[in-house]
Amino acid sequence: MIRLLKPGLLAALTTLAVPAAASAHGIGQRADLPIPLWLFAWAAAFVLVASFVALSVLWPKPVLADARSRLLGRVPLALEVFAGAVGIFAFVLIVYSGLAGSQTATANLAPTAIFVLVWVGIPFASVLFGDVFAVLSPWRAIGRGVGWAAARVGGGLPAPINYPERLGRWPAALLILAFAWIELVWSGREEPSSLAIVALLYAAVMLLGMSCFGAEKWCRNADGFGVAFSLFALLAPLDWKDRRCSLRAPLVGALEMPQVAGSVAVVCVMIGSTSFDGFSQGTVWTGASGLAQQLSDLFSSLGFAAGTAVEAAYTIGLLLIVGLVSGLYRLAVIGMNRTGSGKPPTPELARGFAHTLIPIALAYVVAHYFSLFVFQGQATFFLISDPLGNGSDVFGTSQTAINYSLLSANAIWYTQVAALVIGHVAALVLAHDKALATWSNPRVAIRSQYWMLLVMVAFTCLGLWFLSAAAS
Amino acid sequence: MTLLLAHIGHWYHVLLYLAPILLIGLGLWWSSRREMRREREDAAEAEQTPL
Repeated sequence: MIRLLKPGLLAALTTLAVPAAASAHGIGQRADLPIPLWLFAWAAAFVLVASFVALSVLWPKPVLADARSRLLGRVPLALEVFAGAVGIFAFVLIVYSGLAGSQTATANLAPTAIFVLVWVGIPFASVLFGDVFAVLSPWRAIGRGVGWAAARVGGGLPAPINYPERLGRWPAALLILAFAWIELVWSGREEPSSLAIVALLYAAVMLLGMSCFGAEKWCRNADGFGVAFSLFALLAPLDWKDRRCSLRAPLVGALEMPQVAGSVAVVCVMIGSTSFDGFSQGTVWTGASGLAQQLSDLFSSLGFAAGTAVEAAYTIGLLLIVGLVSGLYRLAVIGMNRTGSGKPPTPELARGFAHTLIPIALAYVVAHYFSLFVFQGQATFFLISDPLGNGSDVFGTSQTAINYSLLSANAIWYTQVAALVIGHVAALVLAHDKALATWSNPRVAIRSQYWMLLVMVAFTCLGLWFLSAAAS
Repeated sequence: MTLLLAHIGHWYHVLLYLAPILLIGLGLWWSSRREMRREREDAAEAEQTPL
């Protein structure tokens, strides 16, 4: 037995002693780190426990709900109209590029614009400047424009149908999941024309929904992009409401997350889909005898074509990781409910604490897509001069290239770890403040957060494992 | 078992990421039990104390 164990143990100990190597999302560089990757998970767990203890001692009362914001100024209507026009122009350009341009993904503006500038760039902009997509959204701009024109010409549009409250944000959750499927699973994602058609279909669904239920109600609940970006914007220091811009304290905005049906599903899908992006790059998933191969073989044996079998395997992987994230959050909520002797009820608690997941969703976006944004984002400079990939040079920048030495692999790894740790500490702060507001007895409130702490540590270690798996 | 150990290099790292979760979970479970016991003792003492 000892003889059998020896080589394995020796190999394990040797690997543990050797400094780790990590590569970042989307680039081939490898980082030389002074300590093994798994030690970062231990360090992150320690930071979370230390933060939890500090919060228990130094934060005895809920304070976030009472924080005041300071009015900075008013925003002219013309700016909103201009931003809407920019959004419509950008949408038309992306769709036209996809349909009429080169079908090589790297030479066409559409894939980079959709997967990098919109899906990653707008969350970053939202966290810094507030809900920029609310004013840039092409369908919302069209909807508001039609409403304005109808009011001027024919006395306004007919009253919209009442949006079913039970539906809540479930349509947005499903649309985010569908987009994640397109990004991570669908084989047609590399074809600009297919992406353009999907973008047109999405816009059609949005316009139809807005015409039935009203522009604001539909965009707030069913626009997957609008809902996801608005959640990131809640973390921004700038708050834009009724054409007023205010400055608010950090994290205070997260409390404004609407507690409606499907709100938990939205954040769980956001975290789960980003997690699957990391997990699907690791050897556990992609290895020669990895899970993807085994699932593909299973579907092939059931008669699926090779491509469809791979897509089916990846679909199952995506759903499983989203399910895992939802299950972990559910575990935290059930634990909190039991600590609080069943009050408030579990569904109410789940929605009440859903805002604590927003910083985690942001942390995962930064950790997984930061390097993609920094490197592939540079492609915008040459793609904007030649959006169709047909050799044009509108702004004289078509000959620029991506500078891969802009960030070292070490810098990317440390940014990823810092994002995960800061995101989870922020989540702990939000959960601690909410617990103090939920339970009148501070001892019960703190004990209820044991579960949240455990789940946050699990999320952090899971995130770091996915990142390290992608690096191996 | 032999097969499992022969492939230890493929899965041992999962344990390294799982270990902090298990350790903290164990610590929180122990701390929670201790606190609840103390609360029960406090409550019992308060009941026995004459007014």
